[in-house]
Amino acid sequence: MILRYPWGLLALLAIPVIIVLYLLKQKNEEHVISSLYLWQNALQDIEVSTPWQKLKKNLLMFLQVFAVALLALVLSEPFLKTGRQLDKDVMIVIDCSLSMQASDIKPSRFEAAKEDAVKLVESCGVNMNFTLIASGNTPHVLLHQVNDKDKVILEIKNLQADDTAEDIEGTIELVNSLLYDNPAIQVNWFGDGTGANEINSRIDVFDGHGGNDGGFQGINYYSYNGQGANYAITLLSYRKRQDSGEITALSRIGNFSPRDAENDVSLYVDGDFFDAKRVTVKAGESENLYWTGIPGLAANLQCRIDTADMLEKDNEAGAIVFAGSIRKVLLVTERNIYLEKVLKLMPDLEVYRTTPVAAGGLSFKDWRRTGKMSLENSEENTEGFDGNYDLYIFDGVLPEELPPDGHIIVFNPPENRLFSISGRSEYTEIFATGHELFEGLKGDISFGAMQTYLYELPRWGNPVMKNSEGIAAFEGYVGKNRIMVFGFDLHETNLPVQPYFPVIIARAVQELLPGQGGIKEVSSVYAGDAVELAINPGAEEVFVVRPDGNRELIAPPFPATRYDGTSHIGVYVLEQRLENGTIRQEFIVNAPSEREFAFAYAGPGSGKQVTDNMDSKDEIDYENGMSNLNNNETETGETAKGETATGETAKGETAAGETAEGGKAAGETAPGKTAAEQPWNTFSALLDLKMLLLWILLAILVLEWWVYAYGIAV
Amino acid sequence: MNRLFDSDFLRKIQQLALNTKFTIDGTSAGNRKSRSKGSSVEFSDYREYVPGDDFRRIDWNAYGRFEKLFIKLFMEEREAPVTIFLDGSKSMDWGEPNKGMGSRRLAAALSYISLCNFDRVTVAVVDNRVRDTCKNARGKIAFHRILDFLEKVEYRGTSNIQRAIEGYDVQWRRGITVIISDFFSGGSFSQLLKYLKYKKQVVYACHILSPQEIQPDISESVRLVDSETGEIMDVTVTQSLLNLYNKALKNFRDNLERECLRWGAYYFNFSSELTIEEMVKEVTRR
Repeated sequence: MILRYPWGLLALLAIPVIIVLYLLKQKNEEHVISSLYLWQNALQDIEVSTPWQKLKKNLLMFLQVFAVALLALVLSEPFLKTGRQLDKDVMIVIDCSLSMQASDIKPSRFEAAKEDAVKLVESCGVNMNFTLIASGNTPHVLLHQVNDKDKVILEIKNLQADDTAEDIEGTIELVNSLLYDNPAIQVNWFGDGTGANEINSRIDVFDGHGGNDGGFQGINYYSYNGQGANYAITLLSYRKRQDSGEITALSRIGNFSPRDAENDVSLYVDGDFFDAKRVTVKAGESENLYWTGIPGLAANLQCRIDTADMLEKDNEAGAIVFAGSIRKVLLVTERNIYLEKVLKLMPDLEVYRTTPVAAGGLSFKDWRRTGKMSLENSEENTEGFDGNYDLYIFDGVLPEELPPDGHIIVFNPPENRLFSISGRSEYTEIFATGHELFEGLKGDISFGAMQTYLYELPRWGNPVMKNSEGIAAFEGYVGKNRIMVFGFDLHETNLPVQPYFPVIIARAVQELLPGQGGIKEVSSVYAGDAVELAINPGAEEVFVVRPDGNRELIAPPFPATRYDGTSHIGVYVLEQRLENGTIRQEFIVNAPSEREFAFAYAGPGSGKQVTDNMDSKDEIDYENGMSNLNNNETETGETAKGETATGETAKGETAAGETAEGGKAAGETAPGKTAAEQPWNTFSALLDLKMLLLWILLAILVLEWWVYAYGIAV
Repeated sequence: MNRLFDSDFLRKIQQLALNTKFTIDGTSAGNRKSRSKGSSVEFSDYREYVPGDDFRRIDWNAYGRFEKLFIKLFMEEREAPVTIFLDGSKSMDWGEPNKGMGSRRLAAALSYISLCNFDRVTVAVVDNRVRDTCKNARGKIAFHRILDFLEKVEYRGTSNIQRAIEGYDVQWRRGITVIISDFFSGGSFSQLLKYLKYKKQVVYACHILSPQEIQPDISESVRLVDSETGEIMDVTVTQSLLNLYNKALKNFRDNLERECLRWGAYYFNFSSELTIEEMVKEVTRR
């Protein structure tokens, strides 16, 4: 037995005091009687029935001494050293993700886990070091090797769950790296997976780091999973028909529970009720609901499940409908049929062309006005045009002064002050780097060039293409301007005849065009995911107003390319302050239930697969690239990864199937905390012992009262 | 007259003596009758003369009628010895009304009644031995001697009545023995009764307790001090303890009564608050 608070034994000092008080106790008033004969006989019965007559004379005193000793024991909080963690440093990992807010364990999984974690810390010895990790979308080490128990407890109590999905792999990696230095540390993981065995089976990576050799004995997994029912809207996306202007929305209803469920689902358009449907979703699966006839002017969609479950947050999802505004592009070139053709194919794009000669002798402001010709109608169209463009494409030229209002793509630029040319290659093969421009493209991305400039990669640049000798293309931010530089003339390469040419150009343009209100075509994201930003180059300050009303400055410093503070679900507002006004754009952060509950419900085994499915990027068949670009319908999905609705449905079924499988596995485990899987008995032993001592203390006090009231003492 | 035996008391016991009989067999009226035949006036029987008989007792009338010598037998009248043992231990000098006073008055009353019956009365004060005696008082004239004796009785020390009576050096004759005590004494009461039975005594055991002993009026934590030994005992008196006390008292009395029944003795338990008439009536009712 170990005493947690040895100072509690100071209470034992009261024992000599009691004894002294008894010694000094004022004697009873004397009462002379004829004989004690009858009194002795009267007490004889009690003496005979009690085996401790010798103690009897000072029974009250002995009871008081015993009570004080017990009190000292309770104060010093003894506990039995039954677990193996007491001689080790302790690492506590607490899942702070969305699913932990479920209320199937009262008051919530998260609160229960925190409470037990605090008790675990309290039960540990005073000389132990604690490491505390909050496992959410991004695992954080909150405390590392801290010896102060109070600080650890305070930190645990201050932990807040957010609405993100747990990055279990990231947390495992983090734990793993911490274990690398100290393999003997005992890891206690508080989460809502269904069992220690499963989580331990996933942590084979520890072996690779010699953890077992260093004394690592696996993770103690404390599961907080009451197997409660959860229904969630896992997807809300829409498509706007260009012809009719109507919107069709798709919502996916997931059933993360062991039973089939019938749910009423409502759709709200701009806050007003639009339609309701009833859908039966099988256990562990999901169903798609289509909502048609939504007015094209709608700006906001909200879908809601009206059935109560253990987590209300994910019963609602929203999406912002983008207006689909026309963006203007200025192409400065003598003549480039390839670029013009590709740009013409892109929807929502208005392209103007001017020649370098026309631009040459004019001031910058006037020069911009020389965009005479719209590629759409090959007519001069400058009437009423203010000369602002969303994107500039320079072919063979580059102005000294960069345009302040749009990003830039430049082909075959002359020497300039922004970047320096390191050399030149002739008859060379240029191939792609790992830049996202080429992501998902099949096959070997390379083409021949008669000549190309090679560049020293500027400090702000990322390589895009290169040949065997150096960088042939790169991109990056120069101040607030994003510039993409290709060191070759398209006419001197066979790139335009490659099947992937339109995809590359279309992606480059999409990449550099400012998004809707500064956001790249994403109406809503999942909590924890980053929002890709395309900030207007004219923006002086950029803010994000969070759902709780807090205003967060995200730029300066520029460039601001992504916002990853989406830890809570709700409506966020991106504010760009320009010289002449403010652009506000809402975006909605939804609950990542499919990722989160597929893991929490189905158990750790399937978590990664589901996560991979959600994050995976479809390989794009560039053979069909042109047809994709020609599609008249724009589509905005929550994942914004170019997934088609059909494809998502197929994935949904896959994920659901795995969930169901996992659900069966989970069903084998008793709901709630699986005591059998908790190797540390210290806490329960402590509770039992403490309660036992308190009960004994109470019994002593009752006995003392009884003795006093009925007079056993002599 | 002194406080203990005032004129009122004496008048009462005279009255009692007229109305009560205190005899060996408890049934015959008048003086005690011995079974031995002697020269009294009361005829009992005839028997033939044998040599050695007192020829003065030959009934010559019977010789004249039957020509045989007959001796005339008469019931010999004898005085019965009444011995009253009074417990002189300190415990008797306790209670309100005082047990000692009550017991002395009872002893005086029984003495007077016995004297009126022409019995020979001995009063003895005992503790661990027979401390003091007033022997062989005969006739009412001797009553004052007894009163004087009882007046001077002192209560002190402990007592062992069994040892005291067994050690009492006296020529026991068939008679009455009265023991007045609270019986908070050493020795075996059973052995005592056995001894007295052997000595052909009709024993009257008068067990006298004060009201405070019968119903203690203590209701808190006190230190009880034994008046005889000085022994102390700290008690917190509660109802349950009082119940136990009552039970012990009942057992005590029951034991004494049972022993008396066993050895043919009479047992009386008295509270010292009883009047002398009540006590005497109780005793002489046997």
